[in-house]
Amino acid sequence: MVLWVLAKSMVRSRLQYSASHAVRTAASVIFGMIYVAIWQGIGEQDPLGEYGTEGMVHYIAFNQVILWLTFTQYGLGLEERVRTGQIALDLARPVHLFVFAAGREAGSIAYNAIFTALPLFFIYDWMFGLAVPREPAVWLWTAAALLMAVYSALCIGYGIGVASLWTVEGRWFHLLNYSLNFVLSGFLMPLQWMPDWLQAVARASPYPIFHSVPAGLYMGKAGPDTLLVPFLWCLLLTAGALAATKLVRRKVEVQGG
Amino acid sequence: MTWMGICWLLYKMNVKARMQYRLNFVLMTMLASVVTVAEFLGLAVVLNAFGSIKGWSVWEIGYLYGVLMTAKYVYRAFGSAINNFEPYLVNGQLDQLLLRPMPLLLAVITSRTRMVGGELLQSLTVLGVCIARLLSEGRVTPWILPQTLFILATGTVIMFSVGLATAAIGFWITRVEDLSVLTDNATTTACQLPLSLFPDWLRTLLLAVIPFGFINYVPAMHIVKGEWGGWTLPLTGAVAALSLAAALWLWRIGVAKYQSTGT
Repeated sequence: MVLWVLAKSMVRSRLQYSASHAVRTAASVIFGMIYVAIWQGIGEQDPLGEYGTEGMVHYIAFNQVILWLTFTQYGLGLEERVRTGQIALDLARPVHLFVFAAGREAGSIAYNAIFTALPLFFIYDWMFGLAVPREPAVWLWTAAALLMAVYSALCIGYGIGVASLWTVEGRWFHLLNYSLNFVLSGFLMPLQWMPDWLQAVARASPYPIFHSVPAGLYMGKAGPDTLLVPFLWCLLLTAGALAATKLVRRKVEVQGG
Repeated sequence: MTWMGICWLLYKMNVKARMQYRLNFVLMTMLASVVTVAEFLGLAVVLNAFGSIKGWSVWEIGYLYGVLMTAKYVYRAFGSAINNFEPYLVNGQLDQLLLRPMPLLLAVITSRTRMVGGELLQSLTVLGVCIARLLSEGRVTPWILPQTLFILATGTVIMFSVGLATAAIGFWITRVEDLSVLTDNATTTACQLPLSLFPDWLRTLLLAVIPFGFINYVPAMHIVKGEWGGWTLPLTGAVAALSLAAALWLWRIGVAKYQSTGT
């Protein structure tokens, strides 16, 4: 119930800036087209293995769509609350800080899903004829992968937000997370095409959860067994979020008010 | 003391203020370097796997990237406030700057400084390595060095102009962060690659509306590819000058229309 109220209030708050949001959606369409153009260019000189040019265009377009489901604001908004001292009140609430922060962000993600991801899906479907699976099982596994991706993104975002209690440069962790996600998640190219050393680094990290796993399932290149790794990462990241909250409760130092 | 002297003094004060938190400063520099290396790695991995894209080799695309990102970070070093102008309008910070006895634009620019040492080191390394490789392959002459310095200067001016125009639009619409995703982030991402990859409408947008294509692609067609004539360099200079004039004009009109938004 608390989660629902928090999420709903965040959706309402996001609805206030619809014009600015439309500009961002337009920018996102262009970003996707830039990445698609790279693969169309490469596709003119290389058959692109099991995907082919059309498959890679769909892979990139799908990743650009789901990007918005795991795109969290900097530190789930906790940095601002540390800076203003609001965090002290948040910790006194009868709601766990992680539930509070994640609940609010879940509303923002729901907003992104409806007002950015969905329009992007239809735009790319119109532009590139995005492949739409016919088997319900594929949709089910993809949805499960996306749910775990969203949850993992919330956990990582929470960890970054909590870091604001110890450093005023927490924004760089957010940027670092974003950059690592870009390289290691399989957003720009399937993991199996990366050099071996980078593949090893990517597979040891949680980042493939965000793009490689859902895109593989959606495009029928992977089976439901690939969901085991995201599930384990969800458990691990939850433990990390709980441990971080314990540390926060021990000593709170705010930056002002 | 001249305006330049005052700007330099304020810049030094900002740097000193940033370095008060030494651990944060070191952490920020290290993380900034890792972030920029990771961003380039994404592109480099694709280029490495397939060798070239539409006739552009890894080194030629690296040159495009190096020029664009160096211009971007030089601009960010002194134009950080312009690049993050929304809080000045939303929180009413601009009101305080309006009271200062100096031109508003200078007051805004000197109100915030960003340390970009880590990022500049990365982009200059990429640029230096690519130029060295192109020279060793005999694909360019040593003239590439002064020409590159010239386009770094014009590129910085174009970056600043687009940033200033985006900030100035904030005087009408207030929220400009998302607009700058379109005018700065998306365009920067596109121009890391040769414009010949993109559809006509996007190419036109990047040459005529948001002229980021003149930062690297247009001059590189002469400096690196040798396909276009030397006229690209004076044209690039003219585009930079025109962009700056247009942005300053828009800024002046915007300031005249400014109404405090309060806190």
